[in-house]
Amino acid sequence: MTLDLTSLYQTGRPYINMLVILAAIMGVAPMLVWIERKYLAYYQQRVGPLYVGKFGILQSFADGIKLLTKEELIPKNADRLTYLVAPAISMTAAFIGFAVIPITEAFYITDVNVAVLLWLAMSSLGAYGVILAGWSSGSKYPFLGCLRSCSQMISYELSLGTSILVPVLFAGTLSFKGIALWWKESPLVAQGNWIYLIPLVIGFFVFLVSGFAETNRIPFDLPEAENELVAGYHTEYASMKFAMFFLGEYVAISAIAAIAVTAFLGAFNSPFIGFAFAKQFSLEAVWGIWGRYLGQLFWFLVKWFALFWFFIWIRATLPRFRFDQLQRFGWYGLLPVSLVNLIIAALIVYSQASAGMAK
Amino acid sequence: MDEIKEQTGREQGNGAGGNGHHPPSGIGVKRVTHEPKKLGVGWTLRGLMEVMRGLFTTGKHFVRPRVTIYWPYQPAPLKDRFRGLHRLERYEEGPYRGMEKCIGCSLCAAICPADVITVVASDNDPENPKSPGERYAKVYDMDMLRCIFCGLCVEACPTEAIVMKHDFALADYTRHFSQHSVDKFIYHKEDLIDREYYW
Ligand code: SF4
Ligand code: SF4
Repeated sequence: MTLDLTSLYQTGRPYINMLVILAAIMGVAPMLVWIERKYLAYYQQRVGPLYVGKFGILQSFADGIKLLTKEELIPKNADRLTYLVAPAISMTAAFIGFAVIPITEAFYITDVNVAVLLWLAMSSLGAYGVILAGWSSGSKYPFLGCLRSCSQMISYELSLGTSILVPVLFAGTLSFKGIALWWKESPLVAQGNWIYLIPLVIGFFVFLVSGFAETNRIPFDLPEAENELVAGYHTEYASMKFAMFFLGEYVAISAIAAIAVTAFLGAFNSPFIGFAFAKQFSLEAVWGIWGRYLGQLFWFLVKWFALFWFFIWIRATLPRFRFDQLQRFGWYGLLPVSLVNLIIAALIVYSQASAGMAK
Repeated sequence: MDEIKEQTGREQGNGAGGNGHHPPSGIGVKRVTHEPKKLGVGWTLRGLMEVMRGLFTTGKHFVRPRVTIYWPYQPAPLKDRFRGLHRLERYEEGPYRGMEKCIGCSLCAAICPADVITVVASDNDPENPKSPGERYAKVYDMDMLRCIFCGLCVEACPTEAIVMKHDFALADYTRHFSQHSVDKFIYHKEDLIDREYYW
C-alpha cells in the first residue's frame, strides 16, 4: 500500500494550520500589547516603552517574565477551583474564535457551516471567564466588576449577533469562509449595486461598537474601571493567571477585528477587487495560485491591523461611559438600529431577488 | 416638605427634583435626575460627529513631534527660578570675601513649614570671624526627607546665605554612607556650604 501524501496532507492540514495560527497568535499578542502602548503614547505625544530591546519592542516579554516570576496568590476567601479555572476559560474562549476565521482562501483551521454561531457562542463563553473570576475571588470589587460585565455582555451580545446577521443574510451562509468568498461575487462588487452598502455600513458601525463592549475596551471598560473598582474582575489575580486574562483580552480583540474584517470589510479580498486594473497588477498574475494566497494574506493583515489601530485610536480618544448610559445606549440605541438594519437588509435581498426573477 | 424645599432652594423649576420620594440628600445639593435623552437620528449623527472630532484631535497629536525629554541622557530644560537642592553661599567679592553669608539668625528655620532646618548659632571669634555678623551658624542641618522645596527659607534669609540650585534627582537606594553623616538625607553644613552643583 502506498502512502497517499495528498490525502495525508488534506487530513493533517487543519492540525498544521492550528499549530501555525496558535503560534502566530501567541507571538503576535505581546507585540499587540507593545504596539498599543506605543501608539497610545504617540497619541499623547509621548514615546512609550523605550528601553527593553530596540524601540522597547521586547517590553511585553519583559513584563511576561516579571509576571511569571511573581508569587502565585490565591485569596483565602476564593472558591479555589473556579478561581483557577476562570482565566483558562477566558483565554480558551478567546482563542477558539480564531478557529473559524479564514485568513486566506486556503489558510484556516476549520470551515464549519455554523461558524458564526460557534463564534457567538464562544464569545459568550468568554463572559463566563470574567463572571466566574469576579465571583470566585471572594472580594467586593471583583464582584461588582463581574456583575457589570455580566449585564454589559448580555446587552451588547444582542446587537453584536443581530448586526452580523446582515452579511450572513447577504451571503446566505453561516460559514465565515462562505461570507469571505461571497464578497467576490457579491452584487456589490460584481454589479456595482451600491444599495447593499447601506445596511453593511450601519451593521459595521453597530458591530464595532458592540465589539468594543464585548471585549471590555475603553468606552465600555466598566468591568475594570480603575477609578471605581481597583482593577475590576481581575483585582485578586496575580502572576500568570493575570497574564492569561491579559492575553485573552488581546486575543479577543484580535478575533473581533478579524471577524469584522471578514464580515464587513471584504475579508481577505483586495479592496480594488471590483476594478479592472486589479487583475493586471495582482500577485496572482505573477506567481499563480501562491501569489493569490500571498495577496490575500497581505490584505487580510492590512485590514486587520488597520482595525486594531482604530481600536487603539478610540481608546486614546473616548472617555468611559457611565453605567446607565451604557445600558441605555445598548438597549435604546444599538439594538433597535441593528434590528431595523436587519429588516432593511432583508428587504434589499428580497427586492433584488424578485427583481432578478422578473428579468 | 415645603420647608425643606425652601431651604434647599434649588429644587424648584421643572419639579423633577422635589417629587417627595426621597429626602433631600443635603442642603443646597441639586439632585440630578436621569431622564432618558431623546434618541433620534439627529442626536445620533451629532454624537457621531463629536466622536469624529475627538478622533481628529487625537489624530493630530499622533503626528505631532513627541515632547518627551530623554532625561538623564538629555539635560532637563529647567527654568532659572527652578527650586532644587539648597546651597549655603559665601561672599565672593567685597570686604567680606571668603566669609560665610549665614549669620545664624534662624529666620529660615522659623519660617520653614516642614521643620527642616536646625540652626545652632555661636559667637564669632573677633580675631577670625567666620561671618560678617556677630554670630555664625555652628550647626546647620537640613532634613531633606521633609523638605517640600517651597523656597520660603530662601525668601526669609536676610543675607541671601541660603539659595536653591537646580539639582533635583536626590533619591537614592540607601540612606547610609554619606560623606559627612550616617544618614544621607540629613545634610549638614559641610554638605551644604560651597556644595558643587551640576545643573
Ligand atoms: S524649601 Fe521650604 S521646606 Fe525646604 S527647607 Fe526651605 S523653607 Fe523648609
Ligand atoms: S541661612 Fe539665612 S536665614 Fe538661615 S540662619 Fe543663615 S542667615 Fe539666617
